[in-house]
Amino acid sequence: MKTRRSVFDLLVTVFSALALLSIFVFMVLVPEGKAYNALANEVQKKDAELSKLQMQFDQRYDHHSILQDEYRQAMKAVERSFDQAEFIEKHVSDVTALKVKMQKTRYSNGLYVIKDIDVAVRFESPKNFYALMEQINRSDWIIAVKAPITFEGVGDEINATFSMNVYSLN
Amino acid sequence: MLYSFIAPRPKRVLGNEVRLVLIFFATISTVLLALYGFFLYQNKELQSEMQALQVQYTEIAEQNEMLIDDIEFIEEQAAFTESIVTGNTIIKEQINNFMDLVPDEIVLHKVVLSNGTLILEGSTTDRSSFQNKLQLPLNSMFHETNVTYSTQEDSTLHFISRSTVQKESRP
Repeated sequence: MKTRRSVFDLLVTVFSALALLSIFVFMVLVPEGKAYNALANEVQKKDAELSKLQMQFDQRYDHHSILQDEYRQAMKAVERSFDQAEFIEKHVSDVTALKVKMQKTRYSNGLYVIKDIDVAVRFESPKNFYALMEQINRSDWIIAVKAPITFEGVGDEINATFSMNVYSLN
Repeated sequence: MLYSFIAPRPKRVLGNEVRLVLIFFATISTVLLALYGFFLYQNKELQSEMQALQVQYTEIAEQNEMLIDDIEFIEEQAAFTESIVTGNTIIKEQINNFMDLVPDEIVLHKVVLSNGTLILEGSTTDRSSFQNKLQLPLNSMFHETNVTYSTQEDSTLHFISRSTVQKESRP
């Protein structure tokens, strides 16, 4: 009788414990484990994405630095506002006389302010004019020389008149 | 060890086998609980790591976008500046090439260079000199050249030449 009782106790204990453990494992532990696994995968994936993005960013940053160094003067020039007196002072050394006259200011696509300027210049040789054109290309402003260009001989010298557009950022 | 034949043996609530089974399951339960604790802790850690990564990702993505915009802007400005410099250089070269064509016999009084048109006013010693030394090269550069001559008081020939490039009409 006693032995049967002991076996019954043992069986009840074993099955109760197994039932409780199964409930715990399947209802709590497995979902939590799955969540851990999914989250770990997500973190790994995000980390890989971040590394890729960081690499792209580094490459772009290098490219940006190179561009900034290469076009520093052009970027400064496009941000500068035109100054007649400064222009004459910088370029009059190439020629005998230089006069500029601001005609009007207009806007292009909301991006640029364009100043239309008439230029009258007197020089001794066409080489002076070529030098002036080269200096305009290297100047502190973005200047486009516009046709028509008129050359007239006055004594031993040449008078040239033309217009130019000076671009700066709005 | 004393052993009594009359004193009752102390009774236990749980038998040895049951105790053994309980200890076994208690150990398993402890391990499983520890595993559950590990999952809970790790999930919390991973969530905060994920949030930090997300914030970092958003920041870098924003900086990347700004950088892309800036690069585009610089490239546009550079292209624009280069197109203007090229235009100026072309004008300078056109004038330079044209001036090189003018022979010593021809004196130019006025030159007007506009888009596709070149007007020359000047004097020359004789018509053939102008035609051979200046008009021929002009004919090769322009589609059409019209010249009018008039004799001046000092017997030199005054000329006005108008050369034009015909613009191609698109179909």
